[in-house]
Amino acid sequence: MESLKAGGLRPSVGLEIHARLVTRRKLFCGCPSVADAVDNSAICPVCMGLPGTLPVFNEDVLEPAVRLGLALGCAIQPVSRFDRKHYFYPDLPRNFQITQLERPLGLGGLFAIPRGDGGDELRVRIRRIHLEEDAGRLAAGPVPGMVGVDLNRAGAPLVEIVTEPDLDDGAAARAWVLRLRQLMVHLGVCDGAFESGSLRCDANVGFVAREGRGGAVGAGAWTELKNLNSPGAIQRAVDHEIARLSRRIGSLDAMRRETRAWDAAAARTVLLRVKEGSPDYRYFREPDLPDVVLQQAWIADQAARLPESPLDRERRWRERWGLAAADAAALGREPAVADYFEAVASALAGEPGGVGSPAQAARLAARWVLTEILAFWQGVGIDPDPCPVPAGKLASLLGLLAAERISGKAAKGVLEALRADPEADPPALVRDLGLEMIVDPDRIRTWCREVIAAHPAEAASLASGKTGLLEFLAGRVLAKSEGRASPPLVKNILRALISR
Amino acid sequence: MTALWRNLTMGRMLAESGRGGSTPHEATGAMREAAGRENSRWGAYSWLAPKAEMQARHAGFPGPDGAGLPGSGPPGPLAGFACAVKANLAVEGWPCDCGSRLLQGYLSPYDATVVRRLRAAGCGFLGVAAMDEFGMGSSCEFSCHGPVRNPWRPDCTPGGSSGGGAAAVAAGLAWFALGSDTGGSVRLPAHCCGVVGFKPTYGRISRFGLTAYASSLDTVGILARSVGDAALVYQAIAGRDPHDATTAVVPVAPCPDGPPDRQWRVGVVRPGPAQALEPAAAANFTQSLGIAGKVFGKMKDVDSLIDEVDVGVYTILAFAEAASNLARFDGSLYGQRGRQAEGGRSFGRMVRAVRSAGFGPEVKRRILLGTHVLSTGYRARTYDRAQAARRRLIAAFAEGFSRCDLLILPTASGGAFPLGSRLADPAAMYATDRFTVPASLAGLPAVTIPTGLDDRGLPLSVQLVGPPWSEATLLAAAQALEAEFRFRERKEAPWNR
Ligand SMILES: [Zn+2]
Repeated sequence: MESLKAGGLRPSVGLEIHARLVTRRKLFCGCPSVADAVDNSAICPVCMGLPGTLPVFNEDVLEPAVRLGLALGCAIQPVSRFDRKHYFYPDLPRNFQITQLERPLGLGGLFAIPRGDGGDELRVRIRRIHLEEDAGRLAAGPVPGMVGVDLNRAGAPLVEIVTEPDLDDGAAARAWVLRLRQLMVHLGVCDGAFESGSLRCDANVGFVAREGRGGAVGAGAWTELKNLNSPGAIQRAVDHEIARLSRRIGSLDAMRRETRAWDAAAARTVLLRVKEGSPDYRYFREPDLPDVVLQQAWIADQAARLPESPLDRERRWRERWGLAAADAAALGREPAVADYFEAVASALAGEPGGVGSPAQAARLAARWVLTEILAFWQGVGIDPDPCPVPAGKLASLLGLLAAERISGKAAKGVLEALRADPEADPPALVRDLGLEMIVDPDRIRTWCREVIAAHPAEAASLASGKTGLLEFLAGRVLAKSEGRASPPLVKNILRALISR
Repeated sequence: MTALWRNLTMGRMLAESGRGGSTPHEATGAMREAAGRENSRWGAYSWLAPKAEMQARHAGFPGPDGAGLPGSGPPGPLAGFACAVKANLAVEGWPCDCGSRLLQGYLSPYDATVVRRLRAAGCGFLGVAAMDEFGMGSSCEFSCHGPVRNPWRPDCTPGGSSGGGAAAVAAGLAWFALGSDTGGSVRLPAHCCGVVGFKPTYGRISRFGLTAYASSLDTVGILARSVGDAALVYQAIAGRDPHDATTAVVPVAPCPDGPPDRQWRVGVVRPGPAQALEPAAAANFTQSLGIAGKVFGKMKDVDSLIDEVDVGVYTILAFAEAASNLARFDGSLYGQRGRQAEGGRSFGRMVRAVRSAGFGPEVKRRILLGTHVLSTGYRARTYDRAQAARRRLIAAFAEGFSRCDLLILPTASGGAFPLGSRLADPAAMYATDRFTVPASLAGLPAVTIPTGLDDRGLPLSVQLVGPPWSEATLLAAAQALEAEFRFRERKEAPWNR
């Protein structure tokens, strides 16, 4: 990368993200918009492009698309319209795609995410967001040697988000896309599944002049990377391409605009076509569809009803509840987890007795959700339904813990019991399992005396100031109580007995 | 004596039936029999419905025992009648080949909205009317089924592209025909065959099920024996359709019966020097204006609203849209894939083979031109300028209609031309549409009514054009004019032979 600096250039990456909107029906017909169905089971004459059929805009897509655009800070256009983009491909039944070129749904915007743990922000400007229809997909044909086409996906509603080239490497691109994905899932506009093609990414990789080094040789967008279909692929492909282009930057003859694909197996990008020979899409206005006209009041209403964004939520957790940035990010990554955590924290703050401030309640809830809940939740796949342990039950359990009515060890036992029977009541479980913490000083004093008698050397050392041995002796006492004695009480009593 | 079904309008047929004459069902049965015998003379139908299917699907059509099937519910306004359907309109289970080799054997799996509405009105369907391939032609010579002949003179074309439907109506082998009019494809064949041709305002009649040629210009039109019949059919099929987003919510006014409630202000659009009519047509137009003056009172000349440039504008816009609309015909999902494609090793090769073998020369010419005008580097000089010219034309018509209610102008510069006479000269063929293209570009309703015959014994006509959504007025005016010409009574007419 030294040569780059010498040339006064820095990498510059822009993204084009296609996200399938969650709607009941396709964009231009009444077929269900489904990701997984038997091949060609969700098709009709319209999405097959049969002669005589016409597209009819499904207005159900407006709400999710506009919500996403607003959340990205885009100016939603009062009038947008559809164009035809022509190319021949077997998965495109009309051999043109209906998209928005000249008048997209939204223009401008900014989506800034934290870089690493707090610190500065990664600010990526949004150039545009527009609606378009998905194509079908090639599938194994019924006849060997022939290619089949599955049109279930044809006509599914997509939004395409185009960014300015504001990213500088693969890690940034990956982090930004994951944050965008989180936002879309949070808003409920896209299921965010890379695996099923609900989320797809292309990247434009090139160089720009460093500040004050205008007109540097080699600046430009050189490569369009197609079909980066996982966060890992985005990161590796972008970094690979930056490195590949950097090696060529000295010899400008080798620089040409290319479209390349990421070959994950070979961990390299491969040439698809040289831009100069790229197809002329012959865009023109789709004559079968009237303009999409949105009332300002409706747009304003959508904006007013946007929920708190995941980034704002994490900031609130950090600033108001004192959560560590990494913990907040981990809790906020999946909307189901975030919602669950919020529910536990607020229920816990309302638990009677001994929880302390809402911030303390939240930190306790965070600790348990991050360690205990996430662990077994991830084992079965995160899904709010079935929820492993109802949030109210966990709050009730943590309330007992905070009030020192049970030990941490006992709390884990109750949690296990709750998993087996989510209907059970934590206080009743504690009672039935005999896990109630022992706070009777006489009983504890008896156990302490027995432990001191059994470990005279350690007791003497503790008495002479080796405070580290307090933990050792307390551990023995807790073992005697089968973990039920209150640890603070045990330590207090031990100290009192030793110092006497 | 001529059979009643061959020359009566639907309106008079209903009246006859009411007086105890034969019913529309019986008449339609006889018409279907005659079509089986006579169609080969004209080639009007490229496919005739099997009688068994008509009996099964057309409530009221005479069954094997001669009795009509009982319809469900009250009989519709068109009960017992049946029409020809242009080969680019979808009828479930019927060929929809658009006159193209590429689509031979393709059966539509659904009904066009207009077909569905006609069924609901009690109307049946006699068969598929031949047409110029994908609506591209003005003579019905560009069809995979061979040329259609004009029932007035078999050595002449019936006009195009809805020539099969016009010929069927003129020959008395259909009560009416559904056609499509993109630049004159209903009005020109109506003119050539001496029948009524009606093109609605763009957005008035659903295009759902009409194979697209040029989407921003395409309309479903009607070829009929009389203006009254056209109005009857128009009432049955017009109006907003949720399957066609370009249909308007403007209510369909009933066509007035009887004399107008006020004097129409009619403007005359005279052909400019570049659009000179053939002498017989010019004489007929002058004479027609005289008759129109009796009906409409004093008419005033409107600054020429038709321009020779219009055909060029139409050519660019229609061909650009056609290249896009016809891209879907690649043989992969439906249509003829052909033997050439079977050994194809790639999708691209297959598409090339299918389209090279499947499309006729005129369709290829228009696709190539249309592709060219949208290409980077050419678009600004061609397509964008044509769009601007179209906007100017719309504004000019709007201005014209601020001073009058209707315009009267010729439909074509002369009677039907001989088969083969314009095949070698595309520009001459395109110019055939010079009087019909302006209303198409402006999306205006227009109706053509026959007025007389030229020196070769071929029909001539005038065209009335109204402002958007003025169909009711337009049809009423056309009916008033039609009554003066009394063209249906002509002894030479094929329906009176
Ligand atoms: Zn569909």
